[in-house]
Amino acid sequence: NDELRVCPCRGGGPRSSPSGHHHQVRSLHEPGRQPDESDQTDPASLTQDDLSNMFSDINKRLRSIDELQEISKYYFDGQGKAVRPVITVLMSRAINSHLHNDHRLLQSQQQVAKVAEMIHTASLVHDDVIDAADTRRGKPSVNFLYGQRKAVMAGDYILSVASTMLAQIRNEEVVVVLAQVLADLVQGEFMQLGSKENENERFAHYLKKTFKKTASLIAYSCKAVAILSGGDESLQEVAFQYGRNIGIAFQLVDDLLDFVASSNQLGKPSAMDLKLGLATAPVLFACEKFPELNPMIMRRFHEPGDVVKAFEYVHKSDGLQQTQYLARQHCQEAIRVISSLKPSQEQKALITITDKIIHRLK
Amino acid sequence: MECSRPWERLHKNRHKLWDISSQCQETISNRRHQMTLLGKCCQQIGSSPKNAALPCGQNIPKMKYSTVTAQQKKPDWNRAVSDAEKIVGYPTSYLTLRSLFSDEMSNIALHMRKLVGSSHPLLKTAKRLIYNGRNNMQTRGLIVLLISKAAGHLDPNELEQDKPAGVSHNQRSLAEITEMIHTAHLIHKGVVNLSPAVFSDGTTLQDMEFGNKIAILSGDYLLANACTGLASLRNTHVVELVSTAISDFMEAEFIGEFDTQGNPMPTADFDINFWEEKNFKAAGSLMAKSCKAAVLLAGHGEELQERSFEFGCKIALAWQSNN
Repeated sequence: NDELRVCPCRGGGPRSSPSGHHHQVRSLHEPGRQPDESDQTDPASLTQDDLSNMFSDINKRLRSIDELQEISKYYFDGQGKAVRPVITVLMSRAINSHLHNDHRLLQSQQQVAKVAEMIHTASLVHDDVIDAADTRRGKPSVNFLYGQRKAVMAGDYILSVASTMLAQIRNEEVVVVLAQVLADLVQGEFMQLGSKENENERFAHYLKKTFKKTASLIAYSCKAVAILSGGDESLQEVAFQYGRNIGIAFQLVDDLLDFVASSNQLGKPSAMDLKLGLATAPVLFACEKFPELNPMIMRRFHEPGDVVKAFEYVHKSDGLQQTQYLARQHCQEAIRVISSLKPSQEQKALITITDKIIHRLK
Repeated sequence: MECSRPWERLHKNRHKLWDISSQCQETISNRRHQMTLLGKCCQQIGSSPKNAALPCGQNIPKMKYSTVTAQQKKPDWNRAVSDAEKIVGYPTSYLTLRSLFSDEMSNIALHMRKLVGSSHPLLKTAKRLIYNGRNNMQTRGLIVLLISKAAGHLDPNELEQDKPAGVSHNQRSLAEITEMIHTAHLIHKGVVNLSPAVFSDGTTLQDMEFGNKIAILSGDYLLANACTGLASLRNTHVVELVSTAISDFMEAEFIGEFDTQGNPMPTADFDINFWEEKNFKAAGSLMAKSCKAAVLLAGHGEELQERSFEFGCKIALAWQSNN
């Protein structure tokens, strides 16, 4: 697992001084690349302080009964990719610059970033129980350590605290927008449970599921901070479309990486999606050349040898290239919409992010 | 006087509310406890300054309780519930069922078939939900509706059409949401710990894993629906209230000691305060905060909100002492 831990400190205690303590949060998988302090548009360095404040705030809000507190804070140690908060914060500042020539982050916008990260983590906790995953982010998963029941309860608890914090922003529109994310996340999981008979429907189904499971949170967080900045509907749409395209691109690359050995990984790529019975973009594209994949998809790769064969077919076809091409297209679209904002450091950083997403493939 | 009518109604309904909470097989001491609790809350509600004219505030009529057996009590329960439902004009047995008739839920129902024959707790919960709709599982929503109607609305000019049976659309929504959250919690509580030691048989482990999956997803679905429902009420104070109630009953799951399957065990320092604290969080909080939210939605002030809160709390604790 190529998650680099730059900072030796663990745990979520309040940090005494955000700038004095060099807690470098990695914004994306970037093996070997340190956030460039001198690069004015580097997403990680632009959001470093905001993020460390955020995590210490989240940990304060999760104070509770011993074990519940322990479990809830387990994933908020700043070791995750933190893509969502980075994007949310950058979008906030970019929009604030665009509308008010002032790139300072509003308290309410920072709250949205926190809420978004908590919703994401709560869904991860539940996902790990559903997928029976033993590890997450390089350490044992919550369900592995504490059992399924407590993991589910802790996930619900994190969600309820996030929901309380959301209400405390006192903006009804924002509550509606982010509540929709919750509904989308669950619907996405359901969509994953079922499969479509018709091959033509399958890709549309996959894209819709990808939006609900991954892009929805990012898109609606972006929209929410645009609302808080006082943006009108067209500006909210800009923010939403950026988030949506970035989210989909991100997921496409994730799905692709499942089939490809990254240079940092020892051993084979995980092919986890196949093992879980999921047909992602590379497989769906590969069906064009290898229709024998279709029955395998219908039976969710359950028969012995299915996973290996499907893996081979994907590599023999142009499924990976097509997936990469689609990801690039979504990134282009994200760049196109965000370019309608007035230029600012943060706006450029948002463009840099699309670059980083594509470069995860190298 | 317009404003005294809601209190009259509550006064009349007091007996029904009493009937509801008294339907149980219990020892006399617990029933005394209940009586005192319910008597206290009626006294509080009755002694509101708005209706100095009502006799309710001065005397709590002697509650006669008989040693009627369990079988004879059942018809009373059903009648009490159906009378209460007529008052609020809503068949609350269908409160959660409505959300069950959706694509996601029919998807779940399909998957649930695979669970038939296994011993996953989710099956029991689902059966109770669908076949025993008229039992106390739906009563939380009913209480929310009753208290909404009892509190009435501040603005006498608001169109009566908007409020069939005196309860606004938002308040009905809140009642539904309360039931959904309670159901979601029950479903999530049915998740089973899967240590290989307990389920050594391969197929049973698979069944349990699958059951867990369905339990988590259906609980999450109900919670997500509850959240979007709350959001559409356009009142962030209500969202905050209900969210903190959910935090409360999650915390309650961690108070005290448990065995490997998550069943609570008595501890050495178990006493009435511990019981009250744990059960306020586990059961009282949702009821109390929903009642408070219901009157908040009608625009009532702090005093009435506090009384509704206490009412919900006491009635939930009364219930719980029966379980």
